[in-house]
Amino acid sequence: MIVNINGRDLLASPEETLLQVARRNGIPIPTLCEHAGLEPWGGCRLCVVEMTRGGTGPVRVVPSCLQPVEDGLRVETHTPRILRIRAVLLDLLLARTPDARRIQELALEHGVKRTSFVPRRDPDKCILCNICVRACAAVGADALGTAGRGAAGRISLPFGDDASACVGCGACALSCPTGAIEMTDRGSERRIWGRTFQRLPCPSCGAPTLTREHAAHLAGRSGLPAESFGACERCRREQASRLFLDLVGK
Amino acid sequence: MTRRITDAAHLERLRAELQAARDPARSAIAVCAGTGCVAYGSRKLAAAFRDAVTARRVDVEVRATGCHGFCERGPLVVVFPSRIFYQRVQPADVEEILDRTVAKGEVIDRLLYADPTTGRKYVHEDEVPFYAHQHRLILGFNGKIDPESLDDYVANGGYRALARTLTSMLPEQVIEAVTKAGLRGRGGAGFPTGRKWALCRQALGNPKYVVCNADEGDPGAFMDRSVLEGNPHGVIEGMILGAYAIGAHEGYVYVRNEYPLAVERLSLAVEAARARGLLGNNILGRDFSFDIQITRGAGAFVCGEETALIGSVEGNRGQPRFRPPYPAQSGLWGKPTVINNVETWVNVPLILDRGPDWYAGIGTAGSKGTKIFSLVGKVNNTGLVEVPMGATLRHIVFEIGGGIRDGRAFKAVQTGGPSGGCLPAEKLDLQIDFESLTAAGSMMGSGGMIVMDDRTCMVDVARYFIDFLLEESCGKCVPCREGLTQMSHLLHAITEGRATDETLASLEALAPVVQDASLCALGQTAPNPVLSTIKYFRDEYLAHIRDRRCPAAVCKSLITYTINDKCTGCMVCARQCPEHAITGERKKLHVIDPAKCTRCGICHSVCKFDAVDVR
Repeated sequence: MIVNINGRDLLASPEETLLQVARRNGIPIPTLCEHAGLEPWGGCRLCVVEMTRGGTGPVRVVPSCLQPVEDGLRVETHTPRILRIRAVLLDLLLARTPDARRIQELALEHGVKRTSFVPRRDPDKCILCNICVRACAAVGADALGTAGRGAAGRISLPFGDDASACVGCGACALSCPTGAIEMTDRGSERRIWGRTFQRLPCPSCGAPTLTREHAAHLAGRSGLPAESFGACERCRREQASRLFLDLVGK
Repeated sequence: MTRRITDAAHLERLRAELQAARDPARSAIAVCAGTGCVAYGSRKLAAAFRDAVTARRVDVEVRATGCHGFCERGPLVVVFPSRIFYQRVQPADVEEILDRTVAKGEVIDRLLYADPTTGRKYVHEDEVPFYAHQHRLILGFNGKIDPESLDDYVANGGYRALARTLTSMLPEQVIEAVTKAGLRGRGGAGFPTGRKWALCRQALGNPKYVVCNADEGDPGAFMDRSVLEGNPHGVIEGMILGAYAIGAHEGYVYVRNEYPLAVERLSLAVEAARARGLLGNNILGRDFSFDIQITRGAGAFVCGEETALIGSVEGNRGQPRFRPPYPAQSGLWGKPTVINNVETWVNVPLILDRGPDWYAGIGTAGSKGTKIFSLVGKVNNTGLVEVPMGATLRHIVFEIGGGIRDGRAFKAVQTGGPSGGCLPAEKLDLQIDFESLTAAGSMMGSGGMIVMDDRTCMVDVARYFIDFLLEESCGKCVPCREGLTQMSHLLHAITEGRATDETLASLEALAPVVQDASLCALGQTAPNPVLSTIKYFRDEYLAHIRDRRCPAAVCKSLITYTINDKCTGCMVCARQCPEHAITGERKKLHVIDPAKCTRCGICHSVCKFDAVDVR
């Protein structure tokens, strides 16, 4: 099917979202709560675009990360109305998280140097995009959730401090767009969510890799022995290329 | 007693027996047992009637009915067969009612309803202006039947539509009838019910579900509660018909736990229907099975949004998600699901019983049938009001509502719940339906209607509703969560006298972004109370901002209390002032110390001489 984005007719397949089609064609749309490995969430609303069905229908503002393509859709990604929405959203986020680098940069790109709203008292860097919670669920640990209601919501362990389900994989911290989750690796020790984990040494080079709990978790989920997950990324690549060369007979 | 009803003919035989056993000349006392009247003590009153009847060994039926709607004047009692209507009845009145009204047919003048403006008294319920101007298709059942008796519902025509439909109509014909009737969802959006059902019937996926949305959460609204409490079988019958139409075998009622009486009566009704074979396998002996489960909600306003409701039923956090896919395609547990609210479901048996043409004859071109409104605020007659679509606001507020309380002036009416707009006097002649209200900057919502008088500050009203919606925002999307946070800051700045013209400009700039960019209807409609009050009452905003003055004398930071020379020195205000801010000797003019005064208004309300000014 064909969708028209910013005046260009673009080929799209039915399972795609507008954001995917736009990205594939080099049309930049800003996002914060979107992550390549996770289902779209539609919370940050930065990816909103104007959409018209059949050329004559009413113009609707929709999140491109969730809007499925339809044949004959006309989409505009950078109209004054859309740019205004994005600027106000970033202005609002800047009031919430004035110290988050990613928010400062995006805001500046949209012409917002400092927030015009009342800054949050005792701000942290969390924008409640839920990527950490969704990543943790995707890992299968489900150690994180949202506590509290609405504007008073916060990302939290069960009962605020029960990190027992955490496997120390670091997916939350690594995927957080604003660096709101603290994780420190010192030697073979990893500290995250108030817990200290030991990282296992790579069997080949001895460099610290994933935590003991993470390896056990992966073993449990996959049915493979825990040792299968022990190699560091570099050694794993080396092993894979060696295997490949063996296969092609070099 | 609890024998299974085997087929349609059996149901009709039962109905005929029940009706024949009822002597229309028999004395009966109907005591309203809706939540409002229960709060006024109607349970004790019904018990007193029963005790007295037993003690006297007279043949009088004492019946607890659903909500009559005129909650303002509870506890309400109707005496049959004369249909004499009493209000504010107390257990002390029981003996007299039995002695005079039941035994001799006399009217007790003291217990009659008197119109607060004309003073005229009315003997019968349907003559009281509050009722006389209504069209009580739905609520009419409430006062007639005992909600805890399936037989009573059957005797009043209940489950007739179901029997007829199961024996003579194909599911597609049911959808066709509902479409032809023009029924639109009463939950707020007004989506055509027949179209929703057709989409769900055509959707791939099995099983399919029907859901009744009873998560009514608007402040001051209680339409659905009253229907569930007063006519639970009507809702159940509607759901069975809907399930038959779309091909579902399981249904859920999502009802908030703050409605204990509704939960109780609905549970009883579901059990009774199950025991009689109206729910469960092979309903009325046909090849159709359906059952209902009740899910109790924890009271989050946003869980009335259909996708959040589904999440909550599934055991997840109540947060809306993007549509499409619509629940009709992918709803509960990812299966095609029809969600309608209580009032929509209860309309369905009526349509199938009396025919789509009859139904489509009521209302306006685009909005058919009646609508129940919860009329509250500064009107003389508060309560539940049912009128045909297209009735004017003036008709509801002045003819049914009896005008503004204490002879004050009408200022605005808010329709559609917390995220509805406030409409001024010049909109009183608006014929209300889904489209006209939206065009005027408000909405139908689920039918809340809050009347405000000239002592209401519109900026304060906007602040109140934004704070409510902020509290109830699920927090998922930025424009609603952060936008409402900032709208609240801006409105507080105005009501607290810290605002500039820029504050208003900022509010007007932020509101459309919250409307455009929010994920669900909560955020998309949240700016309505702000935008409508700015549109219709801009002067009031400017008075707060430029003159640091609250014209309605409500906003505490902007008002002062002073004592004028009408003061007799009675010392009542000085004694009542919690801050000891009032000084003065007996029989001499008193003075309020503005530094100590917290503007609580107690002095103003206790003064009998109109000597305390507020401005």
